[in-house]
Amino acid sequence: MTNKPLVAVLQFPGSNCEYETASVVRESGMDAMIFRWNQLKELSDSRPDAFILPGGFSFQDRVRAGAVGAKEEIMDLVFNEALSGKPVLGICNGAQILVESGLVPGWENGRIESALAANHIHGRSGYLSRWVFLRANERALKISPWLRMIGNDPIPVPIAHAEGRFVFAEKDNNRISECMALTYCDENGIETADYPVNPNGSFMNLAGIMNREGNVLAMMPHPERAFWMWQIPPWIPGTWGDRRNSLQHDPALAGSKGPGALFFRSLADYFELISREDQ
Amino acid sequence: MTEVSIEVRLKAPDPAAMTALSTLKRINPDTCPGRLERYDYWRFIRPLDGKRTVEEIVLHFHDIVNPNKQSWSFSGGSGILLSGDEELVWAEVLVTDKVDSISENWTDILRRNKYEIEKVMYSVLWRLGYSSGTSMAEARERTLALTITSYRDHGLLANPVSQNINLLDQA
Amino acid sequence: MDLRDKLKEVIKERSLAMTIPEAEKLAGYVGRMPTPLEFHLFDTMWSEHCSYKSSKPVLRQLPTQASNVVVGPGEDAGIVRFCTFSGVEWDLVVAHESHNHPSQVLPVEGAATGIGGIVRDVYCMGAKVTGSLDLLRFGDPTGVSGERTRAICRGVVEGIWKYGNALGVPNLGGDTRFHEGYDDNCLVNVVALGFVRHDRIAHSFVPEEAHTEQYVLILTGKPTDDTGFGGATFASADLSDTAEKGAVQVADPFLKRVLSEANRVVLEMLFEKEIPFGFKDLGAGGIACVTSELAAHGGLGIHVDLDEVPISIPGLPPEVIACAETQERYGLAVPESVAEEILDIYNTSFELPRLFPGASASIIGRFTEDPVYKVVHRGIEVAFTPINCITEGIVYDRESKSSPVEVIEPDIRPVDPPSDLRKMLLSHDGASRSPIWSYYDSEVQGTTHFRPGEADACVTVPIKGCKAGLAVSGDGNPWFGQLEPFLAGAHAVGEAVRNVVATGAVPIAATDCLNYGNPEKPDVFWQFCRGVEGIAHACRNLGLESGREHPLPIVSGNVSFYNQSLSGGSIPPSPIVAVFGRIDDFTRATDMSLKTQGNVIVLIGPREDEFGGSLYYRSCLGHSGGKVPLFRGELEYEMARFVLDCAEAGISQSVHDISEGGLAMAAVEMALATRKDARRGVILSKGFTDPVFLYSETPGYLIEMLPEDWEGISVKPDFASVIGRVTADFSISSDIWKLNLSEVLEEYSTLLDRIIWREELSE
Repeated sequence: MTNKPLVAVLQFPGSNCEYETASVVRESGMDAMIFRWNQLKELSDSRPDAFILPGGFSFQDRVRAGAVGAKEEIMDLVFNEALSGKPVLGICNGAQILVESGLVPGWENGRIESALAANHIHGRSGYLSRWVFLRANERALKISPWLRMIGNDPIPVPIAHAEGRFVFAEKDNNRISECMALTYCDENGIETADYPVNPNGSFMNLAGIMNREGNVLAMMPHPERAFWMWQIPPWIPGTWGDRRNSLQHDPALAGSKGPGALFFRSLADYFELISREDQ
Repeated sequence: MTEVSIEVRLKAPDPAAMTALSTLKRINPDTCPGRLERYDYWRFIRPLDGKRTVEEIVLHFHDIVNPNKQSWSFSGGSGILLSGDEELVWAEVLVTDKVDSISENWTDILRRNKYEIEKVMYSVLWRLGYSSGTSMAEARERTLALTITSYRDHGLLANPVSQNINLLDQA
Repeated sequence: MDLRDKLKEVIKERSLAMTIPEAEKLAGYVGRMPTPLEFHLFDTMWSEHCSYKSSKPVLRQLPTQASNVVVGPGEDAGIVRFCTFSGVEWDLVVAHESHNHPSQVLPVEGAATGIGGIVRDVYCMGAKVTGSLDLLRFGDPTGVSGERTRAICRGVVEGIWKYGNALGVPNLGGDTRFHEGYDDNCLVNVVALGFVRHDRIAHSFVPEEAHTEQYVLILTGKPTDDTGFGGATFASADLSDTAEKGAVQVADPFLKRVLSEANRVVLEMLFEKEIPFGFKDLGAGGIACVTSELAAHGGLGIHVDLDEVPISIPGLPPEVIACAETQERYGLAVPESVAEEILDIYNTSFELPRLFPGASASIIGRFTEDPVYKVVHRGIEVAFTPINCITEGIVYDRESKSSPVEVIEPDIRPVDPPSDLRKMLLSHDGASRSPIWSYYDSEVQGTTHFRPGEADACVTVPIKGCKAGLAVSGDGNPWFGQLEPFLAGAHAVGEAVRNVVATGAVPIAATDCLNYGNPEKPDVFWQFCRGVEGIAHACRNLGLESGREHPLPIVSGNVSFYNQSLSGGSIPPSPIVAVFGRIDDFTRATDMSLKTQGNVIVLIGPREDEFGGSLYYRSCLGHSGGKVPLFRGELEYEMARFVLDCAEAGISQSVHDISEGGLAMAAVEMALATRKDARRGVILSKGFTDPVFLYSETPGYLIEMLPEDWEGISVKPDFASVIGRVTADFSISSDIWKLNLSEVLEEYSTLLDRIIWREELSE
């Protein structure tokens, strides 16, 4: 019996990032298990400490990305665990499911208050893969178990989506700051609404939003694809680019962690803190 | 003519419609329709020569209608695309993204290609067919409820935060 | 009516591609008038696509054997040894195919099913698929058929991203070329690669255990429909008739992804229990091909019951059920004793019937000792033939007639480097491919080290914890093909090898797809033969893994004939080759972005005056030239060895091969790849306005090195010399001319986006 925290990675029909996501959780000192969408009993019996909804195309984005997945029975369990305070992370398609589940922004639990709409870029529609820079919101850094180690430097991560533009009902626009978790910026940390710094036209440059308590985080970029330093492109500017390039042809490149690892280290650190408090 | 619209459907069964219907059956078994059909719906605003301009565009750009896999007709016409089953009571709802790159890009492309048109707007048209005992008022009410996603277990076809929802009047 | 007339009538009535002598041969096999199912089955098996009836004798020239080859051409995919890690031997599985004709007619579906089919070929060897590439050839996007070409290009890219991204297989790029010769017939070649444990390779035949234990055939996946009916013969006929458009299959990546997950669980279970099995994907010829081939290659017969096949359209005739090419299906030969357990994995654990209406796994056949292929539908025998006839195949000796192109060279060659480079950078073939790649998910699975465009080849780290990296590149130059078919074949191998070598990886295997016109035309068949000879020649010279006496093996491939326009004009001869390499320690892999000012740029490969098909002639002189660069096998080998030695020594800071646009374009591309907050450029130290030095496409490399590392090389080969230095200025220059790259960067990066996606056609 291990006493490492257990992270459940949910596999919906059409998910496709479940294996690498589970792998980086394990690399971060936690246990990870992948549960298929219909393994409700197995999931609830194993009493996970946290949940990750990985990227992919659940139900092939039919009707609307995340819309059908959000209505699967397994989401009832995630919904209740989220309300009880367990950390839940949705990456890309996982974020779309969380939004369509009404877990984020979660002003009224279960109510659909946001949407991840189709990217809005002049002269272009459809899927977009590219590297972006992110910054964490100050309050989010303090309260979210997923963000505590992120720090203030802009971090490079890749996006890969066709529907990643956060939007809200106009009446809610004045309360967005409560749910702001991650915003797009340039390598110097400067935010602008212009493409490609903001790659999809997202409202207030949002790359990730959370619920009020911060335990549920929905983010469009893929931290598991920036977990290792060697996953960062050779042309990335800024300090992470310097760090990466200083390891050119250095065997240490193989084991060196990248910026995406900070999200998973944050969670491990959060569990350490809880277990210290428990003692 | 100020507006000409066309409806485009897959010749093969539409997988999105199939998934949507099976999901609705699961979450709303009592109010779910018996049949569900999905169409691409394009509105052409102020085409110079009305239907003629639209037809020219449609035949020209296979991105809008690919005749090898899709069939199309002007909407409000004879409804030739609607597949059989007169027994059912049909309600129609139009779902349109509030901000939409597809529409903007096609407007740009058409105007750049010298088509005399103000703009083009893309939507998804859902047709829900209920059993013959259903009244039209009830069919419309159910359709609206099944369309507007307000809570996790209420509605599916549109997210009102990012999409406009229009219940169409019966022709 | 005599038999010949009857056969003729059936061929016409059913639009079969088979000839009357072929139909007579079939009637001889069955000893009577064949059934409709038999007609369609043999029509598929004897199509060019499945039988290689025109190409087989020529293809024998290709080197397919080497010490690392585990499975050569013949099964669904080729396999070579890759590495051993933690006591487990890992093999690389590769496959390469074309989906040209379907993509011309239905670009989205054609490109999507292209990926779908090739990925299934790798899956069904038991492998995890870890990458795919698309090698695309389109017409002139601003030419006479520009409108249609642009729509096809948009559609193909959409098909690739909509299907490929959903599958969860990283797209490792590939290449894209534009040439008016493809106006009426685009090429969509696809490559897939994956990895399998050496002791867990699945084979596409029923195992010999089936002689002693009852084996059954499980069909799993999408319910059978009629959408793909006739697709295999479609792939081998002229694109002349609209009636054939219904033949293109409809792809479903979602179902495929779920099926792959279920297959993984099933195969794992079978291997754990040490139960031998056969596994094959359904492609051309559908159920009929998969059942007969699984049985025949295992030396058994099979009895198929079509009433057990899940179908989505009621009332389909037996020949349609048996031969339809519905996507997302696999056939699995297993002992009857475990069949129920397997059905349960598909139907209950992975809920196929819920996820896709009508999808499920079912037992549809039983293997028999009697070597007969028997199919029953509603109690009636609809096929009954000796099973070995089905796989025996058919061969033609096609006539070949030498038809070389007359060499014409331009009279004058004016040189103005800033303006020439601008023209080349802003040409369809010279411009950045990033608008295309930006639609592809190149990073799913988290194993990608170099994405498309960052180095000469994509590099991934596919085996968790293991430092071995895989490099892959696919190439083929239509402009060479048009002028000299032999050299087109040789350089397709040469350039792909150079791209892999540039990253520091050693080529270990290659695949080819041979795209040509109508093989019944002697001049076209000659082009094909010359292309194969070129490939074979280059492969024999470039066995870099185990020394020059061993070839680089071609382990999988495909022939695509009848690529031509309505008017009968053939496409440029288009041999397209993919090369796969291994770098033992991926941290030594080298990208193409310039690193540090003051470093020297070393030219590998002397420049020659050979400009046939060159980008300089095309973009700056409007001329195609005549003399294609020679393929110098020994020199190619030695250069590659030297580049690999530099990589091994860790002294290459950046490397780029010299191809289109020559040395000057290569240097510019290395500068364009730099960080935006650490831009670099190149100042050339000689050949200021010599077109041969600047633009010749004689194969070669540029390597960036620290000056002391260059000095430290004790024996410098004759073919290496310093030709410039890295500067901190974002430009390329000599002491008498200069091009600021910031002036062209934006236009270069967005050119294809503006022309193809935004339809901005100002010129």
